[in-house]
Amino acid sequence: MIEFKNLSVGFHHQTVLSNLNGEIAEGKLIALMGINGVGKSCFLKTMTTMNPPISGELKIDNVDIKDISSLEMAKIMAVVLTDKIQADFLRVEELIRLGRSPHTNFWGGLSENDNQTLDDVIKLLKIESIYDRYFCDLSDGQKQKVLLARALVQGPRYLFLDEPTTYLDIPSKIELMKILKIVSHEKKMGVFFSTHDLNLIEDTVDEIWLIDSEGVLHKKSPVDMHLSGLLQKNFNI
Amino acid sequence: MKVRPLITIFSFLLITTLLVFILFAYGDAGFTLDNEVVLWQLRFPKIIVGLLAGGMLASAGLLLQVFFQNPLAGPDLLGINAGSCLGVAIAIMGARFIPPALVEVSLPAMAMLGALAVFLLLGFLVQKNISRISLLIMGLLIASFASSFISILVNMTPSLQVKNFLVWSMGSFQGLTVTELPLFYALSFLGILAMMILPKKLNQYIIGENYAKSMGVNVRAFKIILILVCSYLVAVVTAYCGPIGFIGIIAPHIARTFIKRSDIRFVMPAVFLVGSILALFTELILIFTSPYSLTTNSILGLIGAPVIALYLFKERRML
Repeated sequence: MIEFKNLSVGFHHQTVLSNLNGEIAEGKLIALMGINGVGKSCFLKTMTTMNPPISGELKIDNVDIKDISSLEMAKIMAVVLTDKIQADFLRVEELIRLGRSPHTNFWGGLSENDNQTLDDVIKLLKIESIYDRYFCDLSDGQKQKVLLARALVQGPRYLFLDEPTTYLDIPSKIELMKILKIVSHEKKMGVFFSTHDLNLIEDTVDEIWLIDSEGVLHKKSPVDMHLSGLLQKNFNI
Repeated sequence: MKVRPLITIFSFLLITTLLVFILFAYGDAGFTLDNEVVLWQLRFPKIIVGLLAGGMLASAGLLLQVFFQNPLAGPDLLGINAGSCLGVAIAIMGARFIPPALVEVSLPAMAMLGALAVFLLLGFLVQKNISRISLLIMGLLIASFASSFISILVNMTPSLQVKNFLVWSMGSFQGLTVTELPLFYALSFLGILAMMILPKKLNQYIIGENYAKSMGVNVRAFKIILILVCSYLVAVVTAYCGPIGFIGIIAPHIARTFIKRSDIRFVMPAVFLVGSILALFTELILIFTSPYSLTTNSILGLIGAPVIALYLFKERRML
């Protein structure tokens, strides 16, 4: 369980959002919404420990994140980011295998167990056919799946995704949502992602977290969120 | 799956060995194998120096390209060579101010200091999110700043020391005498050892700093180590062989074009070998063209510039 109390997030010592409270449990699928510039990325960066919290508590299983080493953290959570990957001659196989690196030895060789994890994830995402391709030759949808595969083989208990559906076409969006649902409900991972695709997530996610224009975080089930009128108010729909 | 990288590395190894044998048997004195002095005092040192220096420069280029996520990064284009040069210029031309006991160490030390200074400046700019193109321009600016500074030093210094410096600044794998070799071995060995701790982290770093962090890499510590190792490699080579251009930037491209992987565990030895091959090949050309007394850098420039141009042409999405 990831818990945060009175959390303030921001960057360069500048607070963007403050007084945030909530928890992310394993097995839950949660979508983070909010208009551009409201601080979604900032919030996500702090939750994934890329930026330190400005103040307040952020704990995983009652341990403060400051007391968790970055290697231990790599085994607890994995991320899919919007960062562009620029390496040429990077094969899908090599990229996915990298996800296993927190578990491997000094040289990064894979064990029997590591290979098993790889196989399972590849089957789950059905990416056998692109396994030998170069990453830069893939379509956006395929790239997103490969990045997801890399995160999954890391063997995390929590998965964080920064706007994973943004550049995808409709079928790819739906497929990605299905996979995230399987990962959270069957594999019991805590999945947390930011998105703007309201109609895509309403039937899928367990909770919607909305940061409104005043910087207040609302957490409700999709139905309650709909009834509350907060979405209409914040997105002018 | 792993056949191609291994075959590529093996082929590079074969070419290197071949070049070593040719250069050992054939030299300015023609084809000889029985003159001990020529073999061990003249040919052997330059082969070893070419082998190690070429390899280390190439590896430094690879480290830089990963660090800056920029395929055009290399010790010369980023001005790290120039920084090293300035350090050496100060060491050579200021030799009269240095106690005699320290003169032998002052060269590599100053080369290292110069390289490190430039690298730290560039690292600082990268932290400030400078664009890739600005970074390359920064490299050019540093190089021209260093060369202006050097020319001022040249004007203020007695001619003997200037001559020493100018000879050094032409760049050559032949400048080392047999007595200097042991120290060069030791320094190179240390550099190669230092490189061998990097592959796993470099692999994680290839897909970006944030991903590396999320996979448990202490990015700050890793960057510092990378900066130190890279400056060290460039400095050792530059101190003994002078500023050698192009190997650092083209060797990684040549190696990757053949190996077609990005896994550093395969790429790094391949890059090292390509660097050695380039250095030894240049030596071979120097022997064939010995009546014209060409310089190492002019030959490397003739090979290197078209290779980079070709790469730029092929790779439209790089900048």
